[in-house]
Amino acid sequence: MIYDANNFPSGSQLKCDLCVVGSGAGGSAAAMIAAEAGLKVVVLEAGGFVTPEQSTQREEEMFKKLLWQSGTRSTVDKSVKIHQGLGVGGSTLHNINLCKRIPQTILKEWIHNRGMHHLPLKKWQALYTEVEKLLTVTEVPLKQYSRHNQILVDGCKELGWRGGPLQHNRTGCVGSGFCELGCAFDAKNNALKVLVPRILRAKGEIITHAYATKIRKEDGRATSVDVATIDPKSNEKVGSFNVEAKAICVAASATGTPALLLNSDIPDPSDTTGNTLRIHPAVFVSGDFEDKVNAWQGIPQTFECTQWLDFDGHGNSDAHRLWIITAFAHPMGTATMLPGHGAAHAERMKRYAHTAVLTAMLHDETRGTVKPDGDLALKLEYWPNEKDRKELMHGAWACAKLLFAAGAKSVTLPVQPLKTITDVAQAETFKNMELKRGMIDITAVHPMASIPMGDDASEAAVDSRGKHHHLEGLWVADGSLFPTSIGVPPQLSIYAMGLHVGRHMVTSLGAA
Amino acid sequence: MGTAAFAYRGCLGYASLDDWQGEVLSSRQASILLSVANALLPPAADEGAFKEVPIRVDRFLRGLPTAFLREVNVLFYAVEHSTTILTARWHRCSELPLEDREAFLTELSQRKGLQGLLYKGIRDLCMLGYYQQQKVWPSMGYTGPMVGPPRPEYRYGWMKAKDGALPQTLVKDS
Repeated sequence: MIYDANNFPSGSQLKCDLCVVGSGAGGSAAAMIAAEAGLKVVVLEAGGFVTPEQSTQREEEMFKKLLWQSGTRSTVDKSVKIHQGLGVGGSTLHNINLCKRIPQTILKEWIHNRGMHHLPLKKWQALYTEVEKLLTVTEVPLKQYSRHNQILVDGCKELGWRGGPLQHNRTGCVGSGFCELGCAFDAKNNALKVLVPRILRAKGEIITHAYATKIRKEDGRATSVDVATIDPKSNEKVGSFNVEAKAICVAASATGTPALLLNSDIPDPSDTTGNTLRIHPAVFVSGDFEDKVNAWQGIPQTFECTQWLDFDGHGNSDAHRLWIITAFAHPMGTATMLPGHGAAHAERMKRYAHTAVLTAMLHDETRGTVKPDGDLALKLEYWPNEKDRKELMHGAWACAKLLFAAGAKSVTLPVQPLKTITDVAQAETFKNMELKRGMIDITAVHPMASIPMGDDASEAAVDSRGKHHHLEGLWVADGSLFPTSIGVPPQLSIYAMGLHVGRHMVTSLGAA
Repeated sequence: MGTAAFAYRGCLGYASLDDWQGEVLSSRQASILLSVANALLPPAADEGAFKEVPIRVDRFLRGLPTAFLREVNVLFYAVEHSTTILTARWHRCSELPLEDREAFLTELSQRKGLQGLLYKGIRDLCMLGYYQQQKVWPSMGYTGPMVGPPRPEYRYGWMKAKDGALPQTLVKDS
């Protein structure tokens, strides 16, 4: 069952075989494997139990329920926003259901550089096949493309740029377009819909409003987890309890997991924990069209432009690393991302229904850091390095080209001050702009690679099973594990890691 | 007398908002936010929507981390009182005539670093409070949440433990 920590007494003690911290893609997958193998599993979730019935499709209500800090989480200097999910199901509650495998080039590089003895290519392929079946991943048919996505299709066709359809994990989708606010129509085949029922039917327990604050250890072994009970209204700590377990699996995201490990003084001679964060930073460019686009309607992000995404050139300093898709925010999000104020801002907002937005997401090389900030918060530092900044502006240029090619009358780069162009030749100026802090809202939704796995204990904190090298009984099962950025949406790969780590934990605990 | 003048400038002379019942923003902060919204939101803003901005912002800020809310407090203080230090204007932001208030905020928007962040922070709060309101949406052609088709049958009720039920893994309750 799903319990709320606020309903049991502070100071309680729980005891189980496996305690999983985090109920997102990785945590739920690992918990499902373990529970179905007969282990007593407790899953701790800092957020609440938010079901499709509760989705109001209103930004101001759903951001509070589904995103850490109501969507205001950012780097310390406020120059980069990082959206991360909260609630039973984690980021799978609000993501856009995009399903992509990590490119083989990257996997081969990992295997070559990091050992990865437990994750050869064949294993990855098998895991992906399994996850795609589990989540019923399918391509979105062309006839279901929204006008917004058709604009990207048209732009690619006109320019002769490479692109293709995207696969999603959705069934029964009615095309509301409100995926990022939680699906009111229960169409997402996400952790909540697919994995959580299996965890619960196998007698696993999920505890909400339970924020893991410290991993206790004794004689070189992880022994229990201290947990703060969080009041859902104030988000303040109102109690505490402890979960004793034979094994602890941390799947609290690429920001939450390193913060917890650092807060718990988990040994790491490689000094990689929290020091190699990648986030896939993205910039947005909007186009104004004569006809209505109504970009908030229909299935978002069904087509990708990969013209500037060269995985085969990975490692080549000239290789481009940009993934371009449509992106749209609802009124509150759009109004805050669009610079300016007064009559000029209002005039632009009146064109909302005629606006298309493309985003260029970067397969980044920059390494950011994650540190705990007390027990219940964390500090993120990230600013793209010079090469990544140039590449992001190349992405802005590419988005502008696509929008003009698709028929945009004008194209706007939401910089301060706003830059609007009416001729595609002027888009060259985007390429040459120097990206400075505060100039444009950089947003990221894919934090990863903050505890990069590797089989050499001198170079990594966690091995390719997800097992911590330096503390027995401790495992990691989320996007922290990726050794580098992956350049594609990570959910499929995080589910895969959950299954993979879950099976190794079961073997380790003798329950296989 | 100079001290009294500074005290007045700093603390007194705020328009009180009738029946302000915010949980995060003080009445003074709500007043400051309204004055900034007056300068930054569209001139033809719906009056009802405009007056709701502090209420909506207060509601949105509830439950956010203490560190973040401390920053919000600093933001309000800095925007309100930096008129003198940053732009040599004697009056507080909320006391400035409307045109001068807009000019001050526009000057802030053109500055880099922390000053630019002050503008962005207070502007974002205004936009957040205004554009979440349904009465504003027709002006932008936004049709809002999808009302139909019928929602699927609720399938998650069985997952939630009954009130008072405790986890089976609980071995000691205090």
